[in-house]
Amino acid sequence: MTIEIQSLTLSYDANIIVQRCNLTLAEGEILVILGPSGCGKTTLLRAIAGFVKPDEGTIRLNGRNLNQIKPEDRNIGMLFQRPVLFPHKDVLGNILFAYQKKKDRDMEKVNEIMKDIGIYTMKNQSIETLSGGESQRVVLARALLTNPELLLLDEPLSSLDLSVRRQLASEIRTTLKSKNIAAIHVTHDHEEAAIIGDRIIEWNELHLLESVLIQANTDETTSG
Amino acid sequence: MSLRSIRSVPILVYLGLMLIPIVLALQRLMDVTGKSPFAAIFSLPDHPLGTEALYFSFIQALLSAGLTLAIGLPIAWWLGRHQWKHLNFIRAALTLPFVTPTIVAAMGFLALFKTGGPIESIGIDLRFETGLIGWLSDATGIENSGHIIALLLAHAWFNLALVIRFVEPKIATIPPRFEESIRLLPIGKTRFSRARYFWWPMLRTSIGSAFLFAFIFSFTSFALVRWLAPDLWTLEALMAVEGGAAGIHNYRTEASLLVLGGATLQGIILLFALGLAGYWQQKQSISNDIVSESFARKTAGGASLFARIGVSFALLFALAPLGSMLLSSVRIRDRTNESYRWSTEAWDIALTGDLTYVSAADALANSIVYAIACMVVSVLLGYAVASSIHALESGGKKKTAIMVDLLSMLPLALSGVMVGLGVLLGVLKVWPELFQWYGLPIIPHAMLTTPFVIRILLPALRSLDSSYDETAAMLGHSQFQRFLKVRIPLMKSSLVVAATLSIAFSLGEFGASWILLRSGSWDTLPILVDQLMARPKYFELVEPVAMATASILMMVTFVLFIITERFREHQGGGF
Amino acid sequence: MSQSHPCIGGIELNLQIIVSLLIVSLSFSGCLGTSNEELVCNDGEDTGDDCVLTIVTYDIIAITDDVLNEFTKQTGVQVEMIRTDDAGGILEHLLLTKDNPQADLALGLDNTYLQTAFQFDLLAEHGAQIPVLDSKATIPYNGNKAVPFDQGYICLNADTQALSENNISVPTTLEELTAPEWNGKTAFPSPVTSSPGRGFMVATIDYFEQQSSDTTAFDWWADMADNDAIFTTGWTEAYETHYTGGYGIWNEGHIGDAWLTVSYCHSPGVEALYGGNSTISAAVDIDFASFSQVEYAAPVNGGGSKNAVNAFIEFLLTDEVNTNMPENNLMYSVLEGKDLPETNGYRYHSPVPSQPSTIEMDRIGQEMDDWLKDWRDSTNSI
Repeated sequence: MTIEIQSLTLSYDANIIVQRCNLTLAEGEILVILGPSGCGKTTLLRAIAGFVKPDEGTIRLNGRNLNQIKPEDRNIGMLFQRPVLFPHKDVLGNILFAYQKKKDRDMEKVNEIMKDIGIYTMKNQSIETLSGGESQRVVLARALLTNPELLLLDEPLSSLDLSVRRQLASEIRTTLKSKNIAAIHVTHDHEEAAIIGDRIIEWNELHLLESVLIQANTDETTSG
Repeated sequence: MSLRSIRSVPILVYLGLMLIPIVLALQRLMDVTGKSPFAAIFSLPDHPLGTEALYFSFIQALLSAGLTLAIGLPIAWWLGRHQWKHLNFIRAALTLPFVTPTIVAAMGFLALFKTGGPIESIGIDLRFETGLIGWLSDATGIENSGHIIALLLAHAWFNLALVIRFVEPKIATIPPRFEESIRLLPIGKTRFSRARYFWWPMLRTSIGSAFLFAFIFSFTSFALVRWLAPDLWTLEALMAVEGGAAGIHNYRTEASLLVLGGATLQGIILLFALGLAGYWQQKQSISNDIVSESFARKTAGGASLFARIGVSFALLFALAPLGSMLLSSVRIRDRTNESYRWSTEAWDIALTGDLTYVSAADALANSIVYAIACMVVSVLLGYAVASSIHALESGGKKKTAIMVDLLSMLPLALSGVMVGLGVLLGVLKVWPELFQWYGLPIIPHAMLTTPFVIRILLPALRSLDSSYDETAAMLGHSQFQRFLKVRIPLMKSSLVVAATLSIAFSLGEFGASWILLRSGSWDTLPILVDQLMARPKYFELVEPVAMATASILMMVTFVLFIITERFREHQGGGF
Repeated sequence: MSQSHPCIGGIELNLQIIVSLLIVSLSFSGCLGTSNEELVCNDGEDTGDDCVLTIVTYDIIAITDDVLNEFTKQTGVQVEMIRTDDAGGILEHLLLTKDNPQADLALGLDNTYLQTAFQFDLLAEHGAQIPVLDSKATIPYNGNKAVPFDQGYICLNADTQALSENNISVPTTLEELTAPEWNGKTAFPSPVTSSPGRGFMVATIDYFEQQSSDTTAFDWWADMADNDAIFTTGWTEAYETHYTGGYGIWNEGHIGDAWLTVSYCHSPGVEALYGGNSTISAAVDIDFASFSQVEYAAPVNGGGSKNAVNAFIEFLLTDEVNTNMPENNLMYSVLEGKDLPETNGYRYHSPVPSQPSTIEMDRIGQEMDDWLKDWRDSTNSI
């Protein structure tokens, strides 16, 4: 069991977004949550990442209770809707942000991942010269270098052209599968969801079909 | 929870540093006079010059702010509407007066108006009651109107940058399509109606802010009044002169009363003006979309001949006083045969200190030590307070954040003389041994600069996208690492501006240093200039030595200013 | 606004004189030649109290970086200066820090301030060896809590050129100045903030007490205010900004609307000294309307560095330093038998008043507060 969420309640500005939600993810599983913008998907991901404090409930990652753990110590990767690249660094500099100390840097691994993801040739470019798709690739490479136990994908493809979006979606799936990294991907695009996900949940189901979900998860637990 | 209590530490330190000296000083003055600060306000008319100083402060500040707009607005308009080849140079040159130490500004204007100076040589003598000035004095019944004109011009010169920095970027970034569409409507047929129904609503908050800040700086003017209009009094100048006797039991209590009432009233007036400026600026920040400057400029095209002449005059206006000051330091009048000679003697004497207790070189060293220390204190403290306010804001504690934000602005309502008196009387009460400490001037300097640092860093923190920090956190970086590797580099330009501004401010600080000097040996460059100027000048080199000393101060300030300009991002207004 | 005292800085020429004299004296005696045969502060043994001397003073121009260095060289004592803006500032500093004195020596209180300092018990006795002083310098005070270091007469100065151009004669009485032809043409530094102003006010009190009429000095001051007399905070503003007879016409900010002001009787001499034996300014000698001012060096009550204080007082009164007061400080020496030098007509243009004010220092101390209040009330000025 990678992630195990129990009875999670989240609110934002006094609006309850998620109430007593339960959710589990198997090892290496890619879960897609489908829903319209503004419904609170991002808040859920931010709670898992540690930026939002839950009102109640627990989140466990590979058995560790995350509630009292700071975001930087959770070992979770996250891709935002808008790729976040540091303007004062070039592409390689941004990727090396995956390392906290200089001596930890494994340049062989860095080069390998950059080649895998197809950004090796850009490594000395300034980030302003990158397209949206290229930027998300850099961000993905950087996240992977930290060996995350879980990757959170907050609509990272939504601002891209349709063709780029599909290609990148399938590349992300391939990469995650090859490294056996579990992920929660949030999107409003059904097609993208179909390409990338092992399992798809509608946001509304998460809400309304709480008991069903609990049921389903229980099933999975017993079967798994 | 522990984080929250740590957050409040810098706020408490800051408020303590700002308020304790002031509260102690007020307490002492209340003790000496037996009156409350508010009762003391009503005693102001008892002082022979109290009422006069209050009126004059008000009227000259209003006129100065008006003149600042009258000179600054056309320039801002021309600069913002057209394409200019050396825009950055022009902007820097017009901002220069604002960072010029006031004592340097005073010396510059004196040099400009003096006998044999540039203005007199073209036939205008602002000092005597002759010609145009004589006519003006007769017509208005105001004595020495030339001095008032000189003072107003100097204030406008000093505050010109406010208009340029507040209004010009605003003009430059309003999308041309707005103006285009208003031209097609009946309401925008004439220039006048466009000005009234389009430009004025668009620009009024920026213009208003520039006016208010010019008003505040002119209201608390000290060095310029002291030297350009020696017969006239602002409250600040009067408090400075009477301040020497303030806080002493059974000795000239009228001086304590004046300082208590004057400081309270001035504080209230400044607070009111600041509150209004803050309110307008907030309104301005909820503004419409803007376009890139170069786009708007291209639409308006190159500058007309008229605009070119206007901007050239503005540049001349900005640089002339400083140029004549430099000239005055090397052009020396021979007393025996009433002729002039060119010489660098004054510079030699200034640097070796042959006329004074300390040489200009020593005073410069003091000034630099104080300025760097002030910068370190105010940037560290200012950053800590700003990030605490920011943390409160983003942590959902909006009301607390607004409260602390407002409190942090309070010290902006303190003038140099008020802070100087506060530290003098406050330190005397709690820790007189501090008078023997070389670093004491750092306290008032930091008191005066930290609020500005907060004003610069807080918007920078607000505009800093939180996703940078979150991303770095997701990559496993601790809070400290994120601070070093993400925040500092991303805020570099604001930090440099804040640091340089505090250094420049401390280098030029006059009012507080002038007051504090009465209790210790802390000679800085501005004080040395004042010391030389206050001397009898039978000896022909005294005044050129003062000019040379002021020139040294000017040059150091300019080097700093050039550094800042290189780092400054041109943002939508502000300092 | 600040500088209310017309003493002037060492010019290069005079510095050369003073420095060369000091060097000569040093090469002969190796030291001060008075009681201090040894260094007051010997770096090897004594790094204590006497090694730093803190002096509170106004900007006394004779005391430059070089002069202080010379003192340090002779005695090993480092000097720190607390500089107030005028003599009144010294008194105010001493009052404000009475419970925690910051300075060891007060330099520049004059005989209009000294009594107030005594009343508040601000000064202490010195132990310096004093040479024979000029008898005029010891008239106001001859105790050992304060030692004279320079002196001069304060009196009216008039622009003779402007007077002759306007067919006005040099005044022989103070009452003349209330006449319409003097309307707006006189400038007075305030006695509240300026020591020459204070000295002159004291003189006017004596002047009117010597007259047979009922007019008091403050009636006269009120009349002067009605006659648009200009009141300034300091000597500098009156002499430099308003007075037409002095060097001010060449300075920045000059207004030049006063033909008469308060300065020293020897100010025209100083004008001549620097102006190549030529001046249009003249001292106005009216009986009882001039004031004999003496400036003092006085140990601060509760201050430390006693030996250094004594050494500094002795240093000030050495021939080398004090004889040069006329040139370096634009004041008379207090040593016996020293007059102004005759260079460039300095002495010629500096008349000694025939009958200065006779008010005693005790009375000045007792009544000064009331006088200042009366002065403010009658002139409605600062």
